[in-house]
Amino acid sequence: MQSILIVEDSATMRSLLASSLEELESAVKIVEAESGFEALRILPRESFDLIVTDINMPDINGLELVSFIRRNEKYADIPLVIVSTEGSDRDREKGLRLGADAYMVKPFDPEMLRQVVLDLLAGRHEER
Amino acid sequence: MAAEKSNRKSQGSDAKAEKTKAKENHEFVTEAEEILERMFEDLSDLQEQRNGAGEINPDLVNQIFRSAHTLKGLAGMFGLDTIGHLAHRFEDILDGLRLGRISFNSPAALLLDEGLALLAILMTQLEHGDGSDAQAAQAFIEQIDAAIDASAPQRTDELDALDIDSSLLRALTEYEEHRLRESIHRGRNIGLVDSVFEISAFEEGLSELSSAVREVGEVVSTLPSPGDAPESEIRFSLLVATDIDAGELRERLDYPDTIVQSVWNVSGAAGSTSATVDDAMPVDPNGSAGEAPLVVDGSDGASSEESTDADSLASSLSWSNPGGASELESLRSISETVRVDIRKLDELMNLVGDLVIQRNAISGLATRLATDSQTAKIGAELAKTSKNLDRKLKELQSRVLDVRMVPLRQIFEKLSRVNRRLRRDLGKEIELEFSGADTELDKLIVEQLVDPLVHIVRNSLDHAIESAEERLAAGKPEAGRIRINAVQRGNHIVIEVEDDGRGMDVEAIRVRAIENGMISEDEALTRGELLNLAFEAGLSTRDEVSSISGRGVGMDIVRSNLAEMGGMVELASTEGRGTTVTITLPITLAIIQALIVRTGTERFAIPINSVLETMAVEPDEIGRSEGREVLNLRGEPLLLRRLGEEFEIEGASPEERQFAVVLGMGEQRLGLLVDRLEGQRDAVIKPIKGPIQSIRGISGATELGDHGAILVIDVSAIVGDAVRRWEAA
Amino acid sequence: MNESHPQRSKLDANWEGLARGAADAWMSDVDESGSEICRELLVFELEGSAYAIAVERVREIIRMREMTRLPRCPDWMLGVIALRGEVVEVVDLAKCLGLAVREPDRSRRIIVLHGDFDRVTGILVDSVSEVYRAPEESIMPAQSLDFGAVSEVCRRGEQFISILDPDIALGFPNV
Repeated sequence: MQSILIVEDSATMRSLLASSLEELESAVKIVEAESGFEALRILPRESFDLIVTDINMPDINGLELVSFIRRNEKYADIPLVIVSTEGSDRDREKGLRLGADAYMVKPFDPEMLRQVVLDLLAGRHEER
Repeated sequence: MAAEKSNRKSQGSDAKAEKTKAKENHEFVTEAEEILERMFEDLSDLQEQRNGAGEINPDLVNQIFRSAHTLKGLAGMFGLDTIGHLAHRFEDILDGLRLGRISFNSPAALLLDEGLALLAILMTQLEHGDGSDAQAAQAFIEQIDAAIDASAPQRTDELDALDIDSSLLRALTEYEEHRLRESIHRGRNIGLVDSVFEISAFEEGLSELSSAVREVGEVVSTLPSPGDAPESEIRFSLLVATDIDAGELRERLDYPDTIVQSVWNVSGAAGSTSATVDDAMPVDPNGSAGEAPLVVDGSDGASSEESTDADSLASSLSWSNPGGASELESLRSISETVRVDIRKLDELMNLVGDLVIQRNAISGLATRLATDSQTAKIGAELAKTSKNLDRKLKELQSRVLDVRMVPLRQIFEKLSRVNRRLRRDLGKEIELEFSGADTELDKLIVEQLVDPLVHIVRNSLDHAIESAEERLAAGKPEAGRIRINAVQRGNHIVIEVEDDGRGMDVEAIRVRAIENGMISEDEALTRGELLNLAFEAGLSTRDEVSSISGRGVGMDIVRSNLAEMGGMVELASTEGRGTTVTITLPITLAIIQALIVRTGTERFAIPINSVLETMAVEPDEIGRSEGREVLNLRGEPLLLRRLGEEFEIEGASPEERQFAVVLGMGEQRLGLLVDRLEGQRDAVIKPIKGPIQSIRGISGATELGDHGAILVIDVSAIVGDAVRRWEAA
Repeated sequence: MNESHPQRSKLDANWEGLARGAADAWMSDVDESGSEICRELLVFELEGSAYAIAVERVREIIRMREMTRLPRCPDWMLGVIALRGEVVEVVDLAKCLGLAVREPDRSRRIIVLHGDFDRVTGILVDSVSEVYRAPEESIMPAQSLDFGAVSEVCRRGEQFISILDPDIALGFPNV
């Protein structure tokens, strides 16, 4: 079973992201982290096929998390989706340049999120 | 007033619409006025800060931004486009200021005051029903647009001058970038603090480091990086803006594995002198700052108290005297202990739990393979391997458990100290006797047990034990006596605190409880029920609040503290003779072996240490005695109870062959009849969360790895109830 | 794009609304210094009526799943579920409120509530509709209906939303 990590500090938003992804055709396992720090703690313990992260979070921001993941050999290949309220073009550009695979602005369309996630999960599969 | 004016202007059929409109405008103005007032105030504060030498408070800018945003929304709701557009431009300017795209001295920023004045005029016109001056507003909006363009970033990129790895800059949000630029503008020094932490427990150390930084400056950004050993370590780079120089910062952040570099100082030189603070230091700041550090003893004999002291001595030496490495060496060789954060052990325990669940799955597979004739051979081999794995896992489990277990002696020593001190203060002579000091309990439980136990003993010392004169008059020895006894019973520890004091006055409790409205006057309560009222909040039988036990922690807190750990507390007291408080606690919150049984559609887990044996029982083997079902077990009658009846389970099949699970609790025996036995599993008992706090006969639930919960049977309750009913009959 | 999954698109409409609501609520944090004081409510449906509970008391929303029955419990106690290492009781809210009760089916949702002292309770509802920012002035105390579970009522246009007292919802003691 493929496994997805959701990093988001708002409980409601986290729950929404999780329930959107639980409706994927193929069953996925969803792990939730309520902060960047928690994500850092969880990452070494499990292997993930995809990560969805928010940008504005209290401890470390999503860009910092993306940067960390891309510079760590162990996680560098994991597809990353940023879902953020931050509509700023610069942040979007930064996110993508740091190595995020997709950037979605809240409020997100669950179907679109599922499409993006499915494509990324499949794309990774083909590469191997 | 507004209504009058609009009436005068209105004519014919438009009158009504005009009137509504005026009313709406009035509504808008009332609300908008408040916002405008706040903006005036904030803007004048901003003006002051801009003129003064001080720094502009970013929160103030954010606040004006929010006001403009609210005003825009409000205007939109009332369909007031001109005001809406103007507020929107305001928002643009403030957003630019907030993110540093526009400077405070730029033409656009200077238009803020004028714009606000225009907004005020537009609103007065609206209130008075005069046609608003849309043209003036439009002209002004154009002026703002031009100014914003002119104010566009004259960005001399300060950030390029910083001596920082670009990966750090790339991960800054736009707002953080701005804070960084702003700090440079303000003549602050920018430092980079690099520190490496254990990945499993980085948060505490990091938050300690961050708060140390916040005492002297601002943490602009916290960037995690893989450590040199990415599996176990994580590095954090903190970008810090501060007024103190790098040398001073370095002194303040004197932590192990921490490097402070200057990436920008006021003179402009980006020095990269770095100093490592004694990399070889053995003491982990996480450990020394952590809660409830646990001492894991490598040499079996040494008392753990001693080694704690040796360790903290070592750490204090190393912190105050970084050069004293040789002293450190010698201390290290004496004590072969490692301080471990108990949370690390929790993680280890969880991992073991996960492994156990995986092993359950493997043995399930082995059984399936073994039943198919084609794969029987592989199945048998797999079963054998699984058994070996099982043995090793059990060993691992008990070793990890061992590490968590500490003797009660630690608490007893603490109680002795409390007694010595109180003896002086109270002028009472009291002997404290202990037994069972070697009884071991989970470290976490011991930690949480200290306060309730100290409280119970204090209560006895303070209230229960009489003065020497009173005691002599009552024919008791002059010195009071408190005996504390700990014994292990199965998976539980029982701790009794017994005093020979005056005992509890049950009548006084009743009177007090009636006064407090806890019971009614004619309520008939047994002696035990009355005694246990002492655990309810707001009941104390002594009026005075003494400095000794009147510390705000009543017996009600004692009870709830113990209940949190899955324990219970009971009182027994004989007036004039003394009181006994009995605490019952689980030894550990960890894994037990459970027998899984099925009746009808439902499964239950029974802790295996209460199961004496199991057997198949044919319907005709079941006899009756005194109205109850019994089984002849090797010549002795065994009382039977059907699980299906006990829990009213549908679909139980009593007319078929059943299995008897023979349960033993002390001297009592009970045969529990179930439909099927489904094997043994390791189970982690968890409390059931929700509105129904406790269910007679159920002690908790466990997960079986397949998403479902399965209830764990409380053997002592089931056996006790059945035997009591039998004896009563 | 959803033509082949009509049942899902209906669901999505729900979730999309919810997502919008939550995101709007998130973004309108900016407005907090503004004049209107609002309360964030999670709105859900039960037997055709709208109910709500304070968002901050909602821990998560999960789909209906298999439950383990609890013996010796009143009929409003549906049973327990295992949820990420915890075992949580699930309450049949309809029964508690004295409404008609239908069989739990897979389309229903469990709202997991949390509170002080590590309290957790699941409540079974028909569907979850949105996060609604209710202006404080639209909320009034409820006339003592049932047993006090509905503490307040929020008026939204023509519609009334019954707001559950989160502590009673968590506790449902001796209904």
